[in-house]
Amino acid sequence: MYTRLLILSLIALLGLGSMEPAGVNAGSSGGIPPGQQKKLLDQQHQDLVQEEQTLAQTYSQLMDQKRSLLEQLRTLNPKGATTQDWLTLWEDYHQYKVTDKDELKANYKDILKALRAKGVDKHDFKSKVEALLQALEAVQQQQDALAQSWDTHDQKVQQLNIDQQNFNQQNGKN
Amino acid sequence: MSTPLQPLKAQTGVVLVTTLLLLILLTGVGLTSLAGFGVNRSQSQNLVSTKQAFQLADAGIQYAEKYLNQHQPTWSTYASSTPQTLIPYTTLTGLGTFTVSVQDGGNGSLLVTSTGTASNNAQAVITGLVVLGPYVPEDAVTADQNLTISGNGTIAGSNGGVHANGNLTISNSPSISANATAYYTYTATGTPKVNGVAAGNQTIAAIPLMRASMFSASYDYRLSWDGNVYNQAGIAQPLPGGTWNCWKFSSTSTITKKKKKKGGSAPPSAPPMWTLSCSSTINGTLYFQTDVSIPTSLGTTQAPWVTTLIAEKSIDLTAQSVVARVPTSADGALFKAGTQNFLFISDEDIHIGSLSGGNLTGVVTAYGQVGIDGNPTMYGYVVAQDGSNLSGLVTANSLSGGLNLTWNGDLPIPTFLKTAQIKTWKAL
Repeated sequence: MYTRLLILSLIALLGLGSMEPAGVNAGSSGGIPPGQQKKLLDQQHQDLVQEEQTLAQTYSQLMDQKRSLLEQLRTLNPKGATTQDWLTLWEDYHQYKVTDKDELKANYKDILKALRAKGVDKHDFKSKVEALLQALEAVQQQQDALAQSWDTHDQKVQQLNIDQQNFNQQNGKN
Repeated sequence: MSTPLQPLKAQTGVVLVTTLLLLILLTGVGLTSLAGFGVNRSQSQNLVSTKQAFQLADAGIQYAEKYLNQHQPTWSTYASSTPQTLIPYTTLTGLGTFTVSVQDGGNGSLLVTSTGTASNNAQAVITGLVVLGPYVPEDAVTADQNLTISGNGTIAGSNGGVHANGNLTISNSPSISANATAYYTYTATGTPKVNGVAAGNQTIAAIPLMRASMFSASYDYRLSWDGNVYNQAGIAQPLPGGTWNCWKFSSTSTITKKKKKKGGSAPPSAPPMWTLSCSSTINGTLYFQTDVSIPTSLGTTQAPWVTTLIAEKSIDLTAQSVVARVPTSADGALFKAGTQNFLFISDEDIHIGSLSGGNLTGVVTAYGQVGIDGNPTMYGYVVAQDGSNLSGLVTANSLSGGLNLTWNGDLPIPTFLKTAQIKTWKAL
């Protein structure tokens, strides 16, 4: 929940921040003194560094959550299945959920069956696994949202690079 | 012909009695042996169950350590005066269950108690004191995603291992003095010499977040995006001939940036870059807001370059020979506690290539990827955090040259970079 809130805050932050470089561009053609332009660009630079730090922290938290869920899946059959097996199951489950194709569902069910240890109750096992896969799906959605935030951030970095280059060229720094 | 019946001789029955006695004796011996066997079997079963319970309790402690590491921000909520459940009953199929409780352990530590219960209710209890301690990786090379080793390098020393939190792929014949492990899969197609464990499906390696801005209080000089160099007080330094201590500014980097996705519009714009243009540069801790390029050889064994480089973008080292080491306390003002033992810190990629000689001492960490394709001799450890793909300088973590890297578990880094660690451990 905490991470979801953080992601939403990030998206809001990124949305609000996206107009800043354009402002400086307008300023550079609108006769803002170089000293003031430099201050603005410095501030934008610092803001983007801070934004990247926040994105990095969120990324770490989501990776930790994903791995923690995989670890919990691994405890369901520690002798008979590897982390890679569970990752494959998760990837198949995700594909099946995204596309809703029957063949993917069948494939997922086959893998699920293969991962169940002998003597383990089928329904209990399925229920535990699917609860963890659903949690993984939720983490994946947050990771997808974070990837969009990174893309938005990257666009702002690109724009800032251009603004900085323009500033440097105008001030004889090549 | 008939035989006349002979009168029976009188029998004393000695043989019969003796046989019966022998039978009773043998039966007794047999029963005693069977009883003994039963006791031994029962003892063996108990021993197996006790061992299993112990293993389960140990698994609980290991699990708790990782859990606490992943939940450092909520550490204080676990420090209660009475035990609270940290990990509820967890089943290891075929072995049994474990559960872990946690409470305050004093002096900022947490006391975790793990109870393992085997299938026949045999129990074992282990307590451990977990502290947030300075980050010290187990291995000389750690990657948070995949790692490929394709050269014939040598990873030596007591901590001369490699670990990938993704897949580890080894080809050719490197020599690794400790473990070669992966969280997912381990694949070896050459003939690597691994002295420790060589396997996949291993536990994850915790890596703290290490980014340039976290070290920005420790620099001597900041080499800015605007082509100027500033000291900590923000005073611009003179740039005679457009360079500062052999560092030359360019408003556009030559380091490859990430390719745009299909359908993307303009190619990515390059950030500015500072390039080392001659061999007599300054010692000290330098903070770059740009890409960094080091194509020029510098430093000797007698007079190494004493430095820490912190970069918000990538570091590309392509010189033939660089001899560099981190500042130590013996270096006086050059030493910074806030960047202790760090040689290179980058928010994007670090590439160490074309080094035919030279020697690098210190910790190397990139928030992106690390690629080493030269033949450097290095002492310390390398961490690829794999959190960023913004730079195209290194597209995947790889050791492809004749790297000679040694690490013995020393080189402590600043204590604000912490991981959860088991300090003491006791079976009850």
